[in-house]
Amino acid sequence: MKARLLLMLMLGLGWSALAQKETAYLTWLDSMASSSYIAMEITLDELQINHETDDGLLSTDKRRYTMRNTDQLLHHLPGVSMVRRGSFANEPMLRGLTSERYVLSIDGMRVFGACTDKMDPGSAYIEPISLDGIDVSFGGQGNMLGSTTGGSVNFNLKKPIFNAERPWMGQFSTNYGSAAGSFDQAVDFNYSKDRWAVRLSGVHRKAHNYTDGNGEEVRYSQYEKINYAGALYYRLTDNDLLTFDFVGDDAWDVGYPALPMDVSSAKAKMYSVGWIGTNLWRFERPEVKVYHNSIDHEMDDTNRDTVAMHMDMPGTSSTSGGYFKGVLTSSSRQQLSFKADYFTNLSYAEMTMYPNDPSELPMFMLTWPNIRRSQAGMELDYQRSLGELWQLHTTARLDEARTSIDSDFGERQLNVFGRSGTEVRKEQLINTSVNLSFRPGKRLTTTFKVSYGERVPSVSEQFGFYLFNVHDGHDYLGDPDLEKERNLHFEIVESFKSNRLQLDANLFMYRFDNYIMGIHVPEYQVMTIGAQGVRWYTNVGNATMLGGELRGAYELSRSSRLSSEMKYVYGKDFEDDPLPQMPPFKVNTAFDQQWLGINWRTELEWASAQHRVSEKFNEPTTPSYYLVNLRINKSFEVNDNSIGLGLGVDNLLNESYREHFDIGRILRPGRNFYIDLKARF
Amino acid sequence: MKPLFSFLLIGLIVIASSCGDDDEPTPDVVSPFQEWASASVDGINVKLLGQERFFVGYNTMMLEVFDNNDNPITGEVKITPMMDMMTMSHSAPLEYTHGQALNAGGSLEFATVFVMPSGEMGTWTVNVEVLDKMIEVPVEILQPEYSKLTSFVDQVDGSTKYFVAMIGPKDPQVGVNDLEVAVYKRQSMMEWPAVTNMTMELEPWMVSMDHGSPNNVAPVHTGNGHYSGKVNFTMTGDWQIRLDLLQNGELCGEPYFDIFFQ
Ligand SMILES: [Cu+2]
Ligand SMILES: [Cu+2]
Repeated sequence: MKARLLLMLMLGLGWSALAQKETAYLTWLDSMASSSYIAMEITLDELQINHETDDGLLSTDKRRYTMRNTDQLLHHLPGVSMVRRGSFANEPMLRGLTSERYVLSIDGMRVFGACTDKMDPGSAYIEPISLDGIDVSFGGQGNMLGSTTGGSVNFNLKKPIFNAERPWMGQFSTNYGSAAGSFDQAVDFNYSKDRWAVRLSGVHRKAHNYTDGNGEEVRYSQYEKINYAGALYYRLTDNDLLTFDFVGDDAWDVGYPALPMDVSSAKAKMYSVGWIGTNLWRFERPEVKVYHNSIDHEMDDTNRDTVAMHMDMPGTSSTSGGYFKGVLTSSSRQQLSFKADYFTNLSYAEMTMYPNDPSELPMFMLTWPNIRRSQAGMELDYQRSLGELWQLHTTARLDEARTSIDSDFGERQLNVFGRSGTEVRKEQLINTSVNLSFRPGKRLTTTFKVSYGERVPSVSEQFGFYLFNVHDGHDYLGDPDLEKERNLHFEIVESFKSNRLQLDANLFMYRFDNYIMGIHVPEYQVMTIGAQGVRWYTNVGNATMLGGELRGAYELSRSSRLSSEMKYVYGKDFEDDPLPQMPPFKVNTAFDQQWLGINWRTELEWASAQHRVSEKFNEPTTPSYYLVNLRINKSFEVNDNSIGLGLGVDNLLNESYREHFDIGRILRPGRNFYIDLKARF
Repeated sequence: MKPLFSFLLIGLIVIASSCGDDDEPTPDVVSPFQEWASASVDGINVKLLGQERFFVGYNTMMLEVFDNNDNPITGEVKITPMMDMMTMSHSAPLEYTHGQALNAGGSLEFATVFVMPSGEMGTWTVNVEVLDKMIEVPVEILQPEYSKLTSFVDQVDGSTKYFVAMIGPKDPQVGVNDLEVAVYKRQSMMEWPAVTNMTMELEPWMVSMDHGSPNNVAPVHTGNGHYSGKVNFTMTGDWQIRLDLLQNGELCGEPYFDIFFQ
């Protein structure tokens, strides 16, 4: 089992033929080597659904942590940080790049949040219990999912299991955390019979205000949500499948302590229908999917004691799309695959402001004026071995994006700034990557990566209207005339693998051109009461990022293992000033041990102080912090069922800390004792 | 079928939200003239028409003159608005926008800037001299909810009284609006000439939120005391159109207009 875990860790960068795409697994830091808690394998007899990531391994380990939420899972992935605005729906950041710059998808479906203030990244609508894995890629490497300059995050939904030992299977888990008085429950069922397989899961989470490391209650940090997800798969023949997946998520009473507003309701619904086959015309392993998702987001400030002015800010986002992919030629030496995809998104958000003096009348504006964006793309992915030592993996992608607004009101707003949005803007985008791996011996692999990516501006960057950003206290205006942003990305990855030790190190450089950034316009007055200025999104020219990550795992003995990760990103903008929200140097270390039949895990996390801050963006410096987390876990077999019990404490030393890129200088939770219970049946 | 359903739902949301837009004022449409006042003297029947009820401010009006057989009367006219305030009486700015002759249909378009509302203070007539007859047409002048006329005393000489009428935007809306104002001064009780040598600065202001709007164009003189510019509104609600009026580089006054729209 442990060998498999190590193999999994290697897959992301290793030699293994089809796994060249850098895939980060949930298990990286969470991997407690317990073979007794193996969850369900995703195998469809011989058919491997998950060809892209080439793994039946993915699923083995992560379910132990089902009750940790998606944010915590992402937090543990290499190169990923989470921007906090509260306890809920943190925004994933890839090497310091936020959601405008990477593609987020759920099982290949593009999802765009409905909040102008970034309260709802797509990851907020997915629960670990309905996940098979998370794929993360960086820079232009993420282009299989869409055109991007910063990378991609894809959440693979859990598939139902065919021909399981028992027709009914399932698991139940619950946990309690002391810092927020949080109490969560999750349940998952799988049923299969003949040609049918079904899975259904449900999650409920409720948390109160948490207590930070100073013992202070952080007001407006509560939340409550339910999530329900399911899949219905039908096997046409042994290896052809019809699929239907859905995810629903409903959150309410969600506090955002870092922001001036909370959320009274956030609802998402996602559906997809697909077909996976073995052959279609010249394609092997063809896959087709069509999907639709819609998100409704309602902000609320009625629970706040001090608001300059009460506001209503509802937003909606709906996306429909589909894709086809298949392998064109495949042999032991090479493989060429093709993908075509399309989506269309409509984003709308408005703001009504109610003056405190009731004799004055409410004010109204459109913050996202019914923005329609459609994008179609085609991609080729080619891999081949060049002799014994070299392997090549290259991708090329071409997109066309069309963007316009469908609102007279919004058009007139834009006219004030001499802009117009009703005419459809077309933009062609090119994304390409070349990865060359060299493996002189069994242990060492060197990979050179070059990629070039282009992206269109996000809807906020292009059409946002006086969007208030708490981080720098400015109102932001979109510019319809923005040009596409480009990024050239270089990376060297060095991997070493022996029986007991594995090490991965990388160094990367991003060179952005036409970098999109908010530039202060002194002559414009703020709209939001208390804001310090207005920024207009602008193509500023260059931005550069340099950084590196080092990961290692060492098996001390058959029952103990040490793993560690370090990361650092340096960023500078067109004026050689620091880019805002850059993650400082950080080290995570975990020690896992099996002793007395119990799994023991100790985690240490240290982040250096960040003094390289962007003064333009009024960015505060952030002190260094040090965290210790402990966890013990034991599994019992009862008849054919298994029960797992976990006890732990996060932030044992009750450090009062925040991460540098957190919004609003709100401290993260202090000491948190938790207990979780999982049963598999 | 669920995706289809939510497709429809989204469609409905979009339609519903675009229906909301229907409440917005439609851009200026010239409304037809309607009769608001009339009088007859010696077989001369005079009617006064307006696009809305006469109000304090710049009124575009139409004069119609007929004989008893409903035949139009043509020829030169002289029009004088008069307010009788018991102890005194005064006129108001008048603009012959289409000359001083009744057309073949017996009508003439012109404009009057009524400077006060009718009421306890006094009553208004519009005096029409045609065919050597004087016909006094009583008119009622309303005070609009949001004033379209403001006055100030010259800050430089401390005595000259100026009147500023806002002609447009008639239906203000979010976006770029044509701003037109007309400036007059009271030279005497009977003389209210247009002022043509002002320079203006413009700042729209949202008082409840304490902000303005960008990229406005200050009005410049276009003739007959009229000044045209552009005023921008970034949201609906209560706005103030604030003007600085300067003569020879010196600030004469800071009139403003309150407007509101949804
Ligand atoms: Cu929001
Ligand atoms: Cu305002």
